[in-house]
Amino acid sequence: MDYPLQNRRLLFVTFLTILAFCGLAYRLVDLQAFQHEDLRKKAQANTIRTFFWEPRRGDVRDIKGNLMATSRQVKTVCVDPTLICNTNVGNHQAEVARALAPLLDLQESELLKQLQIQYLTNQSGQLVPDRYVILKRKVKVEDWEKVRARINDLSFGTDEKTVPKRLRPYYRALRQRSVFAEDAQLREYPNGRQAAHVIGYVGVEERKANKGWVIETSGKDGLELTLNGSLTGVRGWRVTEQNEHKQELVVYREQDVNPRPGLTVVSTLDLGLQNIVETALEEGMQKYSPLSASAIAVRPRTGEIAALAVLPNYDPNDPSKYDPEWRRNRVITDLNEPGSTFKVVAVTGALNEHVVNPSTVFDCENGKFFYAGRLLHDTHPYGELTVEQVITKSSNIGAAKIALLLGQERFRSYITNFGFGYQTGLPLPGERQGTVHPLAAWNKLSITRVAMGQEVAVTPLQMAMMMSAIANGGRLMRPMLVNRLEDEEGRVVAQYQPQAIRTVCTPATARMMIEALKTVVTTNGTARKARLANYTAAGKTGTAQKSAGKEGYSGQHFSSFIGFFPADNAELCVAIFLDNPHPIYFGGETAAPVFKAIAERAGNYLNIKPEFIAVESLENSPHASAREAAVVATD
Amino acid sequence: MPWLLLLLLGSVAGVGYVGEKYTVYTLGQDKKRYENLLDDACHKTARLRVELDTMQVPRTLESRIKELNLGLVQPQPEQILRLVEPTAGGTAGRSGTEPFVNQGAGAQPPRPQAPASYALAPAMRSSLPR
Repeated sequence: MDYPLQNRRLLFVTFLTILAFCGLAYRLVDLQAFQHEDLRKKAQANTIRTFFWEPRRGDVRDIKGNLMATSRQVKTVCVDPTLICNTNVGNHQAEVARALAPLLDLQESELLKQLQIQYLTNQSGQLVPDRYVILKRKVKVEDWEKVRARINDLSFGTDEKTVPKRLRPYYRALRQRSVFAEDAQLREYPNGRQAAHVIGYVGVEERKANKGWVIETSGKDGLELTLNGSLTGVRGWRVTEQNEHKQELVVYREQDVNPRPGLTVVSTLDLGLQNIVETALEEGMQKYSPLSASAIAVRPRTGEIAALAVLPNYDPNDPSKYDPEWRRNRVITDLNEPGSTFKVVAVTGALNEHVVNPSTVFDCENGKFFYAGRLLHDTHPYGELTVEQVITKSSNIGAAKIALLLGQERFRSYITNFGFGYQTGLPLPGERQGTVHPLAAWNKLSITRVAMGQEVAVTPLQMAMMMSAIANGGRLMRPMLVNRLEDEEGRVVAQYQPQAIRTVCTPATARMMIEALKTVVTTNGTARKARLANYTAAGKTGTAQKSAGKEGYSGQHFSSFIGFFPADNAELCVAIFLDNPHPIYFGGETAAPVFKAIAERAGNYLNIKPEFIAVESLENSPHASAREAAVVATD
Repeated sequence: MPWLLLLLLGSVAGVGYVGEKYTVYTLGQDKKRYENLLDDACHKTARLRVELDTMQVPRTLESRIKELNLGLVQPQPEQILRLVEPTAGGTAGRSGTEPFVNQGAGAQPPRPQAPASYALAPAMRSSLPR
């Protein structure tokens, strides 16, 4: 039997089937081979996610481990307005705003505005709703937990059990995803204004990453800026897959690198001493009303900066509130003619070169010395003074004559050897090197002017380091502000050692200079108000007229006292600088009492052995054993 | 019969495979949960450590002393009794009457060695109760 029609039909169906399978095979090859790369990327974009973990910024601590700067984990609370204001289901803005306003400490009306849907233009030029609106930054974790709990408790005017099944995912998303939080760090300075100019402050920058925004913290001033690299740490990341509910499929986690926290910077500052210095400086500010006041406490043997204070200061927790002038670290950025404290340089040079000895006598011309056609004055008229007395009385004429004997080449070399005209290398931003003119620019008068601290511009830090070099037997040390870097576990990663820059004068010269400087702090000297009850102090006063540029000198003064104690075995060198104190402006009357206040408290705080104990305080002591012990201690 | 056995074996293998996959998935979820717990604990520890450190800074302590009106002040030099510190090598080394002088950053007073004898200066010895 032959069925030609059926056979034809069968063949036709077979052909169609084969054709269909051929089409499917082609499609399969097309998807798996020709479009493989594109489709693979699309599939990965749907499932593979990369997360970045920001490292914790390292702490800054003082030498005793006290916290100076730290980072606290906080949240940036954000909202997706498209979930809250859904045209198909309902508008829940008012309810959400009412619930969140008291918890976030925001106005309800302000919050309502933020919950409105805003539109953005995407890369394709289309208008898309903004699904990432920041409600508040720096929210404490505890507060964020309250926000989350409150959103979970909201009913949104419905009972979820009675809600139609198709709407349940919406309400679940509304509770879980409409209000969310991003991790952030808050930099905190628990001591407020204390040591603000050393620590500095940070700024935050927002950076797009991982379809969201990452808030990066970076140093803007002080140690926060210079050691930003060490403090920042290294970011971690995780490459993983997510399912349709945005849950991580841990088994498909490809890369997982933990962030490495920033290193802890252990500074050489001592917060106890810093507190003493700042308190005394504030008292000085109130008493003498200078425009600004600065103080530095240096350990002469190592060059460690134990305290550094500048007033007026600012709170690094909120630096933008303060005048930029207040944020300037005047100790390293302000240049002034130093005045009489600079006489130490000329006299040290002359003693070291054996041009003079402490008992060499100079005629101080009764206060008026004509040289190179100009008159040089002393504050008080003096007749003959020894080199030591030139320092004691701070005679300008005496210092000028000593410098003339030394000669300008040698004098200038001592100036540069003491570090003037160069940066000290303190790890703080903005340090200036000062001005020491080349010899070619000196005129005949210059040597007499430079000897008394004019025609040179120096920073307060350079002056403090110069005096520390004298106290340290003539060795100039590099100022140290960082003692070590530690990792999170407290292991030392880098330990910084004191560095001697050079020996400026012999120990014998330094000893002679110290003997001269001791006389300044006596009843015959210019700094009798710097005399200490329990220690011998040595130092030099300075009262410089402030330069007014080409117009000569203004009526303002820059007063200073730089001293150290115990004089023969210096533990601490303290430099005080007052910018235009009034009505009294002499360094010996204004800066010297501040030095005394700091030194007496610091000696006690640092447990420096008293060299002598005032008899009246012993007699007043209620403890007989204390009186006896004091005798033992001072034997 | 062999085909039935094969089918059964295949089914068991399939179920086993799916079961294993599910176990891996649930273990992953557990791992994630514990990681979150650990993260929370670490954050809490860090937060508490910062709070403790903040409470210990001299400024906070000073303000607390003022608040509580404890009347604590720095001792005056005449109020300090300086004990003789014994050294490991007898009289060698530090002089007993010499007080600790801070030698720079991080320097701590030397700890007294094993107490062979705490020698006191004669004047101080006489002040001790008998």
